[in-house]
Amino acid sequence: MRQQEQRPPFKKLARELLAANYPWLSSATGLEFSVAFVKKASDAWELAGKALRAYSTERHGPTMVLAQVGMLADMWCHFAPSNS
Amino acid sequence: MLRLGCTASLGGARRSAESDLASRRARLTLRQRQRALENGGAAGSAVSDLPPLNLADLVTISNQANAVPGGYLSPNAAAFKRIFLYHSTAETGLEGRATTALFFLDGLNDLDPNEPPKLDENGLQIIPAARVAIWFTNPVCTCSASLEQLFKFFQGSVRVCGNRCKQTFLYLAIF
Repeated sequence: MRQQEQRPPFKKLARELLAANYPWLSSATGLEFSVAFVKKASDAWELAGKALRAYSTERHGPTMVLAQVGMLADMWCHFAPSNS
Repeated sequence: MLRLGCTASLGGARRSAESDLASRRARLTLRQRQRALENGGAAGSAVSDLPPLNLADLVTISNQANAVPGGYLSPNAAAFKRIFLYHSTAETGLEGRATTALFFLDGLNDLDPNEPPKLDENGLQIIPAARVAIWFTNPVCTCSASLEQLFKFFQGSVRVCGNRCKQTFLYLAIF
């Protein structure tokens, strides 16, 4: 994985998008984007799984996941945290 | 999870294992059942309990929180979080290119549909904070090419401009 030097301006784009489509919402000040480039899709899934696990461990107490998913459950269960 | 009151569907393998176990137990006499309970959990017993459920054993999970007023899953007792997982892959012309993104939306625990929205000093509705992690799978690294796809999703549309893509949407509610 390599971090790109010139990252896409997601925050700026999100702000413009909100202003154009949802003018009653405040600006996207609370949005934080992180962008990385990987060479294989499996790397992206692995990193997404790590991010989910890290997110689940940030909070205390039991965690329940409700999933609405467009693919078979056994596919996404591979990367969803199973120790929650 | 089941103990807390939610319901789940078992996956095919687990369902089959539970059915087989119930069938084996049904063949036991009362005395054999008592003996099995006394030896409960003995390794290798054909009638001992199956291991605890893992997430992979479940197909769907639901809860009755919205149907039961004052249920334990009320905002007073639980913190509701939402995570969107976006994934798309290019089908034509751009082999191996894909976009994967996770949207972590915070602050939704305070949202009550019966309450007026919170406004900032300019009278605009305050949106929840969100963290977004994006991974571009792009062997040739044409970095801006995937942006349209991602922001079509961000706008709530499933139509993708340009290349035909397989799209997958996940909605994870974590609390």
